[in-house]
Amino acid sequence: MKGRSNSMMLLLELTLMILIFAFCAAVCLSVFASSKSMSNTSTETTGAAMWAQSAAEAYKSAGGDIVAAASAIGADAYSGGFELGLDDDFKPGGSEYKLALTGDDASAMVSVFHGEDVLFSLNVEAVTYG
Amino acid sequence: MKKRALDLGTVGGLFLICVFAVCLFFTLAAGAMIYKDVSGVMEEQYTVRTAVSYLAARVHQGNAGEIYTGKLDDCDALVIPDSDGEYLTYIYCWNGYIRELYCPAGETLSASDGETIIPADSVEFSLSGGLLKIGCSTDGGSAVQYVGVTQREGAGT
Repeated sequence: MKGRSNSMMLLLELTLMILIFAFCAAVCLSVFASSKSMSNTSTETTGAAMWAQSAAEAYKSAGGDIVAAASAIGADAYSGGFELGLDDDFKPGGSEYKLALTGDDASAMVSVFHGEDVLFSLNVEAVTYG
Repeated sequence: MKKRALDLGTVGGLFLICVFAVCLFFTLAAGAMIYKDVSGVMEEQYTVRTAVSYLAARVHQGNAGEIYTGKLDDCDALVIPDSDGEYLTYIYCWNGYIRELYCPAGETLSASDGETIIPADSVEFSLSGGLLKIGCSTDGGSAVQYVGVTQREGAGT
């Protein structure tokens, strides 16, 4: 009877230990998933910021000429803006992300989209170097 | 009867220990895999994007001196004159590193004299209509950034 009681205690102890470990593992896995998600977000934001900055620099150096700015960075111009599709490595020519500039010859807004979500946006004013 | 209960307890204990070991293995494997992914992404961001950001910041810093592109020992280089034009800063890629060389204008120096900045396979500068295109490639990938510059009239490219 005493041996059986010891065995039950051992099983109970092991079960409890595994439950505690499972809880810790679940917490760890959720932290890992969160860190991967944060890493992806960081990569997207960095790439989006670089392209938004490039578009803003092109717009400024063109003195607010949207068509010239679009031509300089290889984007498709339309009335009141331009668009450039980017692939998942932020290289031109894909459709995963979209760089868009909308505005006029005095100021514009540059945004980078992932689907409908805005990853990064900034406002830019045209300047003439001289 | 007593012996059978003991056997069941032993088997149950062993089973639970096996479950524990398997859970431990998968948790560690998942952690290692995610750590590898995240560190790979961080490495890529450091090498490629830090290099491009450094070059863009350097161009912004030297913009008043009117930047142009040129050659140093057959390496494509970005040339940043200082405010009075007496000294030039060459930025170029040579022997696996982006390098920077600060020297008096007209001085003949070699590409190996430059100070190493950051590892890179190649750097490309293209100046057109006041817009500088900086392309950089490393082991981790490649990136492009455009920077507006003040272009010197009649400067060689």
